[in-house]
Amino acid sequence: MKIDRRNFMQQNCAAVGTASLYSTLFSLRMTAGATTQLDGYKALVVLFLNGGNDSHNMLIPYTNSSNGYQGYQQARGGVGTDDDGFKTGSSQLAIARAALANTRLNAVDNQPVNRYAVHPRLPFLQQQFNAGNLAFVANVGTLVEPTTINDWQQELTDVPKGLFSHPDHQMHWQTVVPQVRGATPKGWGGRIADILTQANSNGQVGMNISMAGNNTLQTGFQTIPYVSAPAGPILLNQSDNNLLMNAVNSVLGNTYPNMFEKTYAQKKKSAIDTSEIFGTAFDSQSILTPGGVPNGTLKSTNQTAEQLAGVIKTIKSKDALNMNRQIFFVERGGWDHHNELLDAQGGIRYPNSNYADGANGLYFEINEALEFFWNELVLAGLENDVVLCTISDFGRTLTSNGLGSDHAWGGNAFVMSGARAENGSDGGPLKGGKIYGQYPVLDPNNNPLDLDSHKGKARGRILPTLSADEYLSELVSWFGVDKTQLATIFPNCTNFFNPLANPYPLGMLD
Amino acid sequence: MKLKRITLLSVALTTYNASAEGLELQLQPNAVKVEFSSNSIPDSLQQVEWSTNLVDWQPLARNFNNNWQNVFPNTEQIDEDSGVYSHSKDLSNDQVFYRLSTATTTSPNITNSVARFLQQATFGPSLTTIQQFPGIDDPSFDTAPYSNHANWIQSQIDLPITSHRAFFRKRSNPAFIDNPAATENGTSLFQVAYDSSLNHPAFNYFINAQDQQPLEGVANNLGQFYSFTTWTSANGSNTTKVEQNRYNDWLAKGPLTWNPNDAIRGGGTLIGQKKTIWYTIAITAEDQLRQRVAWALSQIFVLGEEGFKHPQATERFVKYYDIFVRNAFGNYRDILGEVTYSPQMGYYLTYEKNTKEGGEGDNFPDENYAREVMQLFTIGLWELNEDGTFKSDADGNLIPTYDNDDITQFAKVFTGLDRPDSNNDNNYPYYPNFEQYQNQNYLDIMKVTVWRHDTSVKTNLYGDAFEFPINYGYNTPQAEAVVRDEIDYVLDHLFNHTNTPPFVARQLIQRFTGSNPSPTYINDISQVFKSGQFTTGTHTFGSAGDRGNLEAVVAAILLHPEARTHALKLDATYGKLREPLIKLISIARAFDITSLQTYGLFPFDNLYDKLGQEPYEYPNVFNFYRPDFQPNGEILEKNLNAPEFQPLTDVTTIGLANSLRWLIYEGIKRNTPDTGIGSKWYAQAELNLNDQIALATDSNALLDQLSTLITAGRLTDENRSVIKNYIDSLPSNNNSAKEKRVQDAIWLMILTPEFNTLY
Repeated sequence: MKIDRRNFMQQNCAAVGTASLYSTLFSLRMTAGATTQLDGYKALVVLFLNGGNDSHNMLIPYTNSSNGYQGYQQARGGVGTDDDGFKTGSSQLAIARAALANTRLNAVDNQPVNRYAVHPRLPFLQQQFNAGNLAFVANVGTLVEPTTINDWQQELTDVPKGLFSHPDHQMHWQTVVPQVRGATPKGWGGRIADILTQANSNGQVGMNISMAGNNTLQTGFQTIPYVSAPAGPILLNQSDNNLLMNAVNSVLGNTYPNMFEKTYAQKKKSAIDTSEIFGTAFDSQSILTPGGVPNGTLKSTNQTAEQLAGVIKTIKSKDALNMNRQIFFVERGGWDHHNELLDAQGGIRYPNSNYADGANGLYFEINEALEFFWNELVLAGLENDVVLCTISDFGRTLTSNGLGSDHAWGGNAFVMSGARAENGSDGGPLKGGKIYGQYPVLDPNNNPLDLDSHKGKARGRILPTLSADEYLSELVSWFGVDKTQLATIFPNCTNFFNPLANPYPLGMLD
Repeated sequence: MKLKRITLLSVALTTYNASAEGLELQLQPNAVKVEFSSNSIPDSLQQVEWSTNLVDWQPLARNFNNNWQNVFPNTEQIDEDSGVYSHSKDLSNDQVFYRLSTATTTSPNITNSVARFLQQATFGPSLTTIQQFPGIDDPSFDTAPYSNHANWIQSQIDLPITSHRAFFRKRSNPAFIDNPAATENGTSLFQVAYDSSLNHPAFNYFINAQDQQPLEGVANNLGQFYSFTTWTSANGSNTTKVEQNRYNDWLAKGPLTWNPNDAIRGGGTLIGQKKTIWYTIAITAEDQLRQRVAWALSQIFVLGEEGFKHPQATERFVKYYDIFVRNAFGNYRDILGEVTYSPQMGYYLTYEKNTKEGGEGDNFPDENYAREVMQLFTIGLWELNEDGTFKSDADGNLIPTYDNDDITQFAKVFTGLDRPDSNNDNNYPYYPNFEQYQNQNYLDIMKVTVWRHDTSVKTNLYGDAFEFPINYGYNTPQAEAVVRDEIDYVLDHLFNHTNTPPFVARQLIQRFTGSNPSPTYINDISQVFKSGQFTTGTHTFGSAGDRGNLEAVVAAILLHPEARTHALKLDATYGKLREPLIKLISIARAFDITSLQTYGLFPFDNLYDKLGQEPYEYPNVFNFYRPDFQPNGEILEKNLNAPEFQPLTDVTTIGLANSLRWLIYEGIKRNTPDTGIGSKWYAQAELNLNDQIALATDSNALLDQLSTLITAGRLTDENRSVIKNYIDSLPSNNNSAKEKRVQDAIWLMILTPEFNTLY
C-alpha cells in the first residue's frame, strides 16, 4: 500500500478500519527492493533527552549586552553559579559569565549577538562546533503551522494538542503531527522505514534499531523497531536445545484468535528470530576505545555512552547484516528539572572526589558520551556517514520556580557529523559551526516571543520560531528521502516551506 | 468454540436486504433503525459489526447474558426499549452494512474458573488457594450475584493488613515502640514490633549518610551508633537512647552471628531492601487482594526511586507505598490527601519548599504538582462522560479539562509545604522515625511554612474565585490550618470533578480485568465510585454516600459481568496482556517457592532491564505504561489499547522467559556478570516441585494441573499436545529426570500466549 499524504491523513482521521498493515521485520525485508538501491551507508542517531532539556543553559548568549548575556542573566533571575559553573545561589538560574569564558563558541552571523557559549560542562561540543562538526538549532519546537505571537495570543492558528504536557510533547516530537493527540500518526522514523523500501534491500533486520525500548518515533504503519539492549541483543536461554526450540516454535507459530495472544505470539517469535541473526553479527564487533564502555576514561556511569556503544557495534555490523540505511534511537532521561536545575545540569562539587569537576551532572555525561562516540566514529572512518541529532520534550521557562524551571515550548538542539570542507564538496555533510534558526532575545524587558507577555506575568515561555518539520527535514533529506516524499514523512512541512523547491530549509546538511 | 456463520445485512437508501437472522431492520425517513434480537443461549456471545464499504468492519455492539451493550471505543448509542435493543443511524452515507455473528463456548470447570479469578485478583493462584476458595462445589458458582466471590473478597478485606513499613521495622529495629493506637491524619498506624525469632536484623537502616554506610557489622562500627545520639524512644517515660538499647540488645544475644550471605542486598547497597520487602509480601502475604489494589494504586500515584538522591533509603519508600496498602479499601480522597502531604511526593514532584511569586527573589511557583495532580491523579487531560468516552464540542473536538492558566492558578495553591522537621525530639505522638539523612525527615507529613504560601485570590477550573485569607500570625497553627484548607479545597475540587470517577475507574479496571472496558463497564464503576456502595445479592460493599470508596469500587470491578462472563473470551478483543512482574510472581506462588534464607525473604534483584517492570522502578511519573498505549498490528488497527505492551520489547519478551527459566530451574540466583534474577551466585530461594514431580510419569495429569496453575485452563489443545509430545519424549526413570520433565513443561507453558494474557 502506497502511503501518500492524502491517504496518510485519512488514516489518521479514520483511526480505525485500516487494512492490516502489520508487518514483521522479515516480511519487510522480503517485500523490499522494488526501486533503485540507495548508495553508500548512512545512519541517523536520534538522542532523545527525555523530560525537557533546559536548553537555554546549554546554549547561552555570551556577548555582554541586553540582547545577549545581560538579558539572559536577568531572565533567569540572576547569576546562580560560581566561576566554575557550580551552583552557589538560591533561586537564580543563570550560569556565571566567567564560567563560560572557556566554552565560548566561534562568532556567528545572523543572530541577535555574535558570541554564544555552551555550558561549562560541554567543552567537547565547543570543540566540535569550532571545528565545524557541530551545529546548533535554535528556538525549535513542534508546530502545526507558522504561528506569530499575535496568532498565539489571539488563538488564530492551530497549535499542538496538550501543550506543555510531557507525554504530548514527547509524542509530538516523535510523530511531528502535533494536531493529533497520541501515536496514531506513527513516528517519522517508522514512516521513513515504511516508504524507503529501496534501502537495505537484502537487510537482515529492519531500518530502525532502538537502544532504549519501544518508542513511537521508530514505529511506522508497516514497520516496528528492533529493540536491543545496549550490550547487545538478548538471546533466549535454551535456544541451543533443538527439540525444545521446535516445541517453542510450534507454540508461537500457532494461530490465536484473541488479539492480545496473537500480538504477543508475533512479538515473541520475531524477537527470538531476530535476536539470533542480530546477535551473531553484533557480538563479533568491538569497541576500539581502550577499555570499552564504561572504561577508564569515562568518569561517570555513562548510560548515554553505553547506548552509543551499542550503536557503534551495530553500525559496524552493517556489512554482515546488509544494511545501508539505519536510524538509531538513544534516550537519556532525567531532564525534568523543576528542582535543582543547576546541580543536575552542571553537577555538584564534591572536593577531592571523582566528582570534583562536575562529573555527576547530566551535561558532563552527554559531553563525555559524545566525545566517546565521535572518537569511535573517527577510528572506524564513519564520521561522515553518521549524523547525530537531539530532540527533547520542550524548552523550559526562563524564570525560576525557586530552584528550577517549568514546562515551556521553544528550545535548542544540536546536530553532530563530519564537517563539509571549505571547497563545498569534500568531507562530511554538515555545514557546522553555525546556529540555525533564530536564537531568541531573552531579555524579560524586551521579549516579543514570550507567550504570556500579554497577561503581564511573563514566565519566559518562548514561542518557537522554527518548526520540528524544518529541523528534521534536513536530516531526513540527507538520509535519502526524496523531496517528493518529504510531505509524506512530515505532513505539515508544506505549511512551513516548499520541499519540492528546497528539501533543505535550513541549509545545514546536504 | 463454535462460530456460527456470519450473516450479512445491507442497508441502503435504495436497496436493502432484511433477511439476516437475528437482526431486525426498520427503514425510516433518512435513517435506519436496526433491532437486535437477543438470544439467551448460555455461554454464547453475539457481536454486531458495521461497515460503510464491506471492507472495514467496526464492532458496534455485543450481547452476553442476554444484554446488548456497545463496545469500546465505539460511542454509538445502543437503545433499549422494553428489552428490545436497537441502533439507529442517520443515513448521511448512502449505505451502511451490519453483520452479526454468534458463537458459543463451554464454561470452564470451577477449578479453572477460580484460577482465572485469582489471576485477576491476586498475585497468582496456587493449589491451596484454589482449594480453599469458597463455594468450589457450588453449581451456581459462575452465576450472578457471584456470592462465593463476594465472600472471598469480604474475607480478604477482613484480613489483617500486611504493612510494608511494619514488615521492615519488625525485621530491622530491636528497639520498637508498640503503639497500635498511634494515628496520623486520623488513620491508624501499625503496631510495630521486633521479631524476636530473628537473632539479628534482616534489614538495615540507612542512617549515616555522610559516608553512605548503613549500620551493619555492628561491633566494627560502634562509632556510628553514637553519631545519632539524639534518638530517644517515644513512649513518654523512657528517654533511654534507642541506639544504646539497640546495641545492648544485640550484645545480649551473644556473639554476633551475622552471616553476610544472608544480607539481602547485593553490591553493598541498600537499594534492594524495599524491593525484597515488596517481593516477599507479594509472594507470601494472605491479604493478596489488598496488595494487588495497592500495586494498582501505586501505578496511578507514581513515585519511583529514579531521581531520588538516596534511593537506598528504605523506610521512606515503604511508608509512601503503605498509603496504598492502608487505603486499598479506603477512600480515594484520603489517598489523594496523603499523597499530596507526603514529603516523598513533595520531593518527587518538586513542590517541597514551593514558594509564592517573588518569595525567593525573582521566582514563580513551581507548576509541576499542579499539573500532574490533574493530569495523572484525578481528572486527566480531556473532558469525559461517565462511561469514559470523550466529550466533544460542537465541532467534534475534544475538550481540555484545564489550560496552562489553570495550572498557574493551582501552582499558587501548592505553595508553602515543606519537609517536616526532624522528629527525633519526642514532639510527635507516635514512635520516632529511625531512618534519617542529615536530620532530613522524609517520613512524616509535610509541614506548612506560611510565609511561602501564596495568599492571593485564585480561580478554580470553572472560573470561580476562591480565597483563603490568613488573618493570623504566620507562625500560628491557625494560619497553617488556613493553608491546608486551601490545599484541601483544591483536592476536593478535583476529587469531585465529573472526570475523576471514569478516569480512575478505567485505569483500575485495566490493572485487574481488561485493557478495553466497555462504556457500560466504566459507567457502572463510575456510578459505584460516586455512590460509594456496591451491592451484589445480599452482600454490600462500601457505604452509601461515601464517594470514592475503594472497597466498593474494587468489588464492583471484580464482580462485574464483564469481568466474570466466560463467554466474553469469544470476543477477540477481550482481556489484557498480564503485567510481567505479576507473571513472574505468579510462578513463584504457583509452585510454592521456598526461601533458603535465614530470614525467609525472596530477594529478586535487578529485574527492570529484563522485565521492563520492577517495584519502585517506575521510569517516571507516567508509570511503566500509559493507559492508551497501542502496539502495532491488530490492536492498533482496531484502535484499542494494550498498556502492558508498552514495555514489551525484543529485550523484555525474551528477558521474562529467561528470568522464568532461572526461577524454574535454578531459583532466585544470579550468575556473573549480570544474568539471573538474584543478588547471589547461590540459590536464595527455590520452587518446590514435589507435587508435580509426583505426576511426572503421567503427563496428562501433570498437564491438567499445570494448565490450571499457569493458564487457568486456557491452554489450547494444540499447545497442550505440543508440550505433551515433547515431555513424553524425555526419560522419566529417576527423580532428576522427572524433575527435568516438570521444569521443561512449566517453561514451555510460560512461553504460551495463554499464560501471558488474561481473558
